[in-house]
Amino acid sequence: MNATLLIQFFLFPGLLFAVPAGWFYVWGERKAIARMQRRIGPPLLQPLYDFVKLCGKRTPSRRGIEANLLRLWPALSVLSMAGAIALLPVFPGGHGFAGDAVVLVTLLEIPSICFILTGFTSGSIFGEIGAIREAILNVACNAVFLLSIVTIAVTAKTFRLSDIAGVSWNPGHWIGVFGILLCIPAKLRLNPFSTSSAEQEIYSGPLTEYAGAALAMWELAHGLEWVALTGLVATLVMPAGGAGWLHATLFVAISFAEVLLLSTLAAATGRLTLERSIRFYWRWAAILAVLAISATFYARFVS
Amino acid sequence: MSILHLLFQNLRHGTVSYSLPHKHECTSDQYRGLIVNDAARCVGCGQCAYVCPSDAIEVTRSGDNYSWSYDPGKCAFCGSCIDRCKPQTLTMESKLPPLYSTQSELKQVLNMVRKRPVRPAAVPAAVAAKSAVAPAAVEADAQAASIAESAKPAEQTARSPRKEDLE
Repeated sequence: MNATLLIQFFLFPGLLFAVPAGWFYVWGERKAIARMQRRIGPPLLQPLYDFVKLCGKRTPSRRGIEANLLRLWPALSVLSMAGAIALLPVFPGGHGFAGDAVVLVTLLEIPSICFILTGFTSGSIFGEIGAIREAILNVACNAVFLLSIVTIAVTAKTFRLSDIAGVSWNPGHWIGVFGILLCIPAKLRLNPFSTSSAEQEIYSGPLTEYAGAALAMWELAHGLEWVALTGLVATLVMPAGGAGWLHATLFVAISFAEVLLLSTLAAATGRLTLERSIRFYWRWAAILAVLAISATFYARFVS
Repeated sequence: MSILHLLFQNLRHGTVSYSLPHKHECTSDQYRGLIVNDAARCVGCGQCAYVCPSDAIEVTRSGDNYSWSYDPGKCAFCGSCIDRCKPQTLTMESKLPPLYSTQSELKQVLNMVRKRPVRPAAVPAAVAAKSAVAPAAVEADAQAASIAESAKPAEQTARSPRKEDLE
C-alpha cells in the first residue's frame, strides 16, 4: 500500500475529513428539512453531541442475542465507507488503480448488507421487517445503480475512477450520473424510500435494538455514507483539470448542494410503500438505465 | 409543484418555533406554570396530594407538624390540586418554569405546623340588632339558604364518589 493511498484513507478525503464532513452533512439535512417545516432545527454541533452522548451510554445486555455480531456490523460499515471515500478521485490525476470502480461499488454495498444482517441478528420483529424491506429495496435500486455505473464506465472505456472522473461532456456519462442520483435516496434510506428505517412504523427497523456506542457507530456510518455517495456524484460531475485546492473546494460544495437537493426531496415527499418504491425503480428508473446503457454500447460499437 | 412552492414559502417566512432555552416569556396569564403554596394559609389537609394523579405532591404528617413537598419533575400541570384546595392556598405561576437537568432539582419542601380549623365567630350584637331592624333582608337570606339546601342532593348525586365515601 503506497503512501498516497494511506493519506487518502486517513486524511483527505479519508477519515480525518470524512467524519466531520459526515456530521456536517447530517446536520445540513436535518437543518434544511427543519427550516422547510418552519422549525429551527438542530445546532451545528448536534450530530457530534449525539455521537458523544451515545458513546457514553451503557448498552443493556440481552439474552439470546449475539452482542459481538451487533457490534461488528456497524464497525464493518464504518470501515467500508472509509475505504470507499478513500477511493474517490477528488484530485486530478488521482492515484487509483485499474478496476477501482468495481471495488468502490462493492464497498458502497457493504453498509446495506450489514444493515440487513443487523435486522436478522437483532432478534426483533421490527428489525426483521426492516431488514426484509431493505433487502427488497436494495435489489430494486441496485439494478439501476449498477447499470448507471456500467454506463459511465463504458462511456469512459475504463473502470478506473480517475479516468472516469476526467471524462468531458458526454450524454451517456450524465445519464449515468442521473441514474446514480436517483438511487441515492434509497441507499441513504431517505424519503420517499425510507421504508426500511421507518421510525413511525417499525421503530427504525434493524436499529430498534441498538443503543450506546454501537448505535453511535451506526450514526457515524450513516454520515460516512452521505460523504461517499454525494462525493461519488461530485467527483463525476467535477470538471477535469485545475488546481488541487479548487477540486477539494468543489468536491465539498457540490456534495453539500446534493445534500440540500436530497433534503428538499425528503421534505417534499411522503414515504412510499415498498411496492411503489420497487415499481418506481423497476419500471421507470430501470427503463431509463437500460436505454442509457444500450445507447452507450451502440454508440461505442458504431464508433 | 405546489409542495415545492409551500416549502419555499416556509423558508421565506422563517421559523415559528422557539429555540431553547426560551427567550420569549409566555404572555398568557392562563399559563399553567409551577404550583405555589401559600404557607401562611395552608391547613395541611392533604387533599392536593390525594387528588394529584402523578404523585408530584406529598404531604407527610407527624403530630401537628407536617411537610408539604412538590416535585415539578413529576407534575402533569393538570390543576386538580388547585381545584380541590378548599382554602385556596395553591396557585399556578403564569410564567415558564425554569429549565432543570436532574430530576427533583426544582423540588420544594415546606415544613409547617398544622393549623386548627378556624371556627366561625359568634354573631356580633350589632349584626343581630341590624337583622332585627330589617327582617325582610333576613327573610331573603333564609330563602336563598333553603334554595341552596334543596340543590345540594342533586349536586351530590352528579359528582363522582370520593374515597372517603367509598370507605
